[in-house]
Amino acid sequence: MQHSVSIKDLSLNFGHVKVLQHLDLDIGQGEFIVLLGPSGCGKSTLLNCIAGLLDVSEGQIFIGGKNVTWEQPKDRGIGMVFQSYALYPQMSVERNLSFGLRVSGMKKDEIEKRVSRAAEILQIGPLLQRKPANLSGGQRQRVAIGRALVRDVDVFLFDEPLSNLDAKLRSDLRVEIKRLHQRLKNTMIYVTHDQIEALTLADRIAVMKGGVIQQLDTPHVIYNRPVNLYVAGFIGSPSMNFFEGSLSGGTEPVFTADDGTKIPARNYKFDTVPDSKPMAAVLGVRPEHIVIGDHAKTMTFQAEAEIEIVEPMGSDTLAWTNICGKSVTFRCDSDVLLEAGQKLPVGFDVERGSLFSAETTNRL
Amino acid sequence: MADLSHSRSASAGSAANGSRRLFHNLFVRNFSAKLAATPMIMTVLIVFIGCTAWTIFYSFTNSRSLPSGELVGFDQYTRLFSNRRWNASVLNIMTYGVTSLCFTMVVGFLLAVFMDQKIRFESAFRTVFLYPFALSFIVTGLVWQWIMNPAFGLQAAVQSWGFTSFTFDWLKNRNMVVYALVIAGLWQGTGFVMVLLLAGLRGIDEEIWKAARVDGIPTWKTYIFVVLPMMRGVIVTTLVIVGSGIVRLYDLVVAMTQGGPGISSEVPAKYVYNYMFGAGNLGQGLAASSVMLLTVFIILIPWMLIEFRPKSHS
Amino acid sequence: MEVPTDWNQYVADFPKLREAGVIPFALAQGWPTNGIFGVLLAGIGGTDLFLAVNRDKDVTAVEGPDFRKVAQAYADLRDAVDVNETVGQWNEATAQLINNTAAGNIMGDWAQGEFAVAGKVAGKDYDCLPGLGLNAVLDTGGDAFYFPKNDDPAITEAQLVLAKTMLSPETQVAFNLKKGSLPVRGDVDMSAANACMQKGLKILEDPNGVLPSGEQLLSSDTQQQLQDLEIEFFSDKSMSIDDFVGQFADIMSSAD
Repeated sequence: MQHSVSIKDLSLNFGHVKVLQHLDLDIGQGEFIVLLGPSGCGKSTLLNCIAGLLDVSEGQIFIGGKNVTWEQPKDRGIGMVFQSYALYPQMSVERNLSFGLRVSGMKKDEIEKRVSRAAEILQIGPLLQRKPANLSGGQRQRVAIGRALVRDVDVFLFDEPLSNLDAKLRSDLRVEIKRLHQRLKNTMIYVTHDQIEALTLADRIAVMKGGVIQQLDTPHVIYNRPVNLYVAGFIGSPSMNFFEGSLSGGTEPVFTADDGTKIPARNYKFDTVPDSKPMAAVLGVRPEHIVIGDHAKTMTFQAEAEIEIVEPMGSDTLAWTNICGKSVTFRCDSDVLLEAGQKLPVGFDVERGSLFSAETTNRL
Repeated sequence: MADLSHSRSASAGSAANGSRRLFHNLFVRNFSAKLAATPMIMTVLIVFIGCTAWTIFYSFTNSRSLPSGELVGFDQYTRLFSNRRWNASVLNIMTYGVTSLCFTMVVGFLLAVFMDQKIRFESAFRTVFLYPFALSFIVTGLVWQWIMNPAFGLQAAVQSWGFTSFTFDWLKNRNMVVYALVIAGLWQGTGFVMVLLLAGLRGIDEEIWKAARVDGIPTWKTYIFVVLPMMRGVIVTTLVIVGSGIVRLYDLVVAMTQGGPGISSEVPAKYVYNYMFGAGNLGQGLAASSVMLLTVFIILIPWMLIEFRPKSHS
Repeated sequence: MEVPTDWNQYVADFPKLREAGVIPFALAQGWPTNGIFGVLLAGIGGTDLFLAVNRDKDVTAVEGPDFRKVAQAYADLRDAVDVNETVGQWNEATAQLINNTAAGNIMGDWAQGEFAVAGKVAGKDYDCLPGLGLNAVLDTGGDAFYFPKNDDPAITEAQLVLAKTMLSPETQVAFNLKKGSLPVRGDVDMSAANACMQKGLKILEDPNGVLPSGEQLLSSDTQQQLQDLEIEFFSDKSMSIDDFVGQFADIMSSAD
């Protein structure tokens, strides 16, 4: 199958600063890709390169099978939505949507058709004659999406489109973008630093750090089988609990925590089975994979732990405790009433956790 | 609103109540803020409004070196508008104003656009362009008086290189001398306009530019249809500054042409000065300055009506 | 060429001077240009016309044939002057004379100070025609010193000493020899004065030789209007004499 967007060995340098390094990325037709990472990781830069707003130093970009590496943004078949909306403030919504088309010399009735279709999809029909100053943040972002929509392109680029909105609007609009994607079935590339947006929207997430894609996979894999310590720590809130220690492989692999606790890792699905020589390793366990009470007794790791702090979140409850000499958080149902100072059995299965080499930080 | 309609329908008995409320609203409410604003309010009342009223009143008297209260109606104005020098001054300032305003704004904007292209040595260029603004009009006028002097300046230099037919005698040419002033004024003021407009350009969100590029709008169209309208505030400020510089044009003329040749580069401010102090005719000088003030109002009022009209949300 | 003995001869020589590559008349912009008109009025128009116009504000005198002659002379000079040769300040015009790039000029006696500094000798290197050689009169004026009144007797005494010193015959002689002008008192020995000053001193001996200056006769308001008119007329070759005379009469009708 032909890729909708294909990036081959892309590098971008600002002087001596390497912002993107030998990046490869293939995006399928109609796929929703989220570029996720902290600020400065190069995700927005990558998006600007795809849009043609930045000239690349090396490599090639294909959109719809066409090499567009040196094409103008308007000729790449993309539409883009910005964090600050970037609407033209002196023009009405209708003109904001149609300005680019008018400049390109498109026929009037075609413009009208596209504008009314976009207005219908985004439900901004009643706002068409208003100026951006008289719109709310959410309405403005809809108009900005509409401006990409009227271009009738295959690829939509979103650069942190929801970051300027408050939490309530953000989750509303998130759903709308997902709905839009399901209706239009366009390829969408979406940049964000918000992992909830990434996990909820993406078909595949590309987690980026230092100009390099760390892991590119479905949200489920990214969450459950992070390829390295960085991805494991970045995804998930509260973040994964880490235990430093050593791992001896062979037929009966055992993880030994720094305090001497031995945890059998027999059922753990190793990417590559390590040999029997002990090696420095890190065991990561998600808070929701730590269980308490009777249920803990069936786990490969069991211990008695004292609750230090309890944070009821409404839907569930977070608690802080101490296991193997490490402070850890775990998540349990909000119906379970916990108190600080309470002692109870806790446990987890190593196979639900992740093991990393302390040396390479890669998943074992 | 409810309050207002209530007091409207109230009988005379509550009129005292109303006036007490008026007093309260005027003086007691936000007292400390009003107290803090008092010096400025007094300045406006005394310096601006008071002096303007004084000026206008005495322009209707026959005051000579000292103000006199003897009213003579519109005599000073009649004399003013039958005075050839005054009429020439008005015509000159209009020519200078329109030409200078157009050129400073256009050239200043083009320079600002040029500076906004992420060029190298931007701060060096900015300093060079802004430097003339650090010089007074007197210095500017003297410098350009020498440059444009046909016997010593540009004309003499070019002729000495062999181009003997080259003439550049605007300073001595009654029809062109105003444009010589325009050139010196442009040299002095364009850098400042450039800096103001550059600040405005820099205030434009970079994502607007990106959006325009994705939309396929050519750079020049983005400047004209998107960026310029967004810079409205800066442009109005710049226009006011440039405009006030034009109205009070005086020192450049004194340094460069002394109003000559003849009266062909006279300007209103110089007329006011000459008749008020040189000729000791206060009434005539004040009449001339009142006309200048009136002209400024005639230009400003339509703009203010447009700018400050109550905004209706459709 | 001979040094002319009066204005008319001088003007008649203008074309010859041009041919010789010399600027016939050195002109500075501004007040020197109006000053010329006053000199022409006294020299060509004569004392009576000068006083009729400036002292009596006689509009009929302005509209009369004698005044017209003066205006014509002013216009002739205007037409003879090349605007590109005019300079900004009176001392630059004097410098043109000293450098021999210009032949003559109308200026007050203080111009002699410039000649003296340049080492030029009156009667030898240059000469003067008071009253344009037509009407031997001088229009005089001077600077005034005002001393503020004060309570300190020491300062008052110092003021008196300064005043005495300035007006003492020795100071007057020494100062005027340097400046090239005439002393404010007639009782000093000016035998050391140069040829030009001697001419002036001779005129001063005749009580009719001294004219009050326009500055004394007319209000500064009227002077300003006349100045504006004269400057305009002198710069605009298309302005007719009729127009000039008409405007002049207008101003004089309301002059004070």
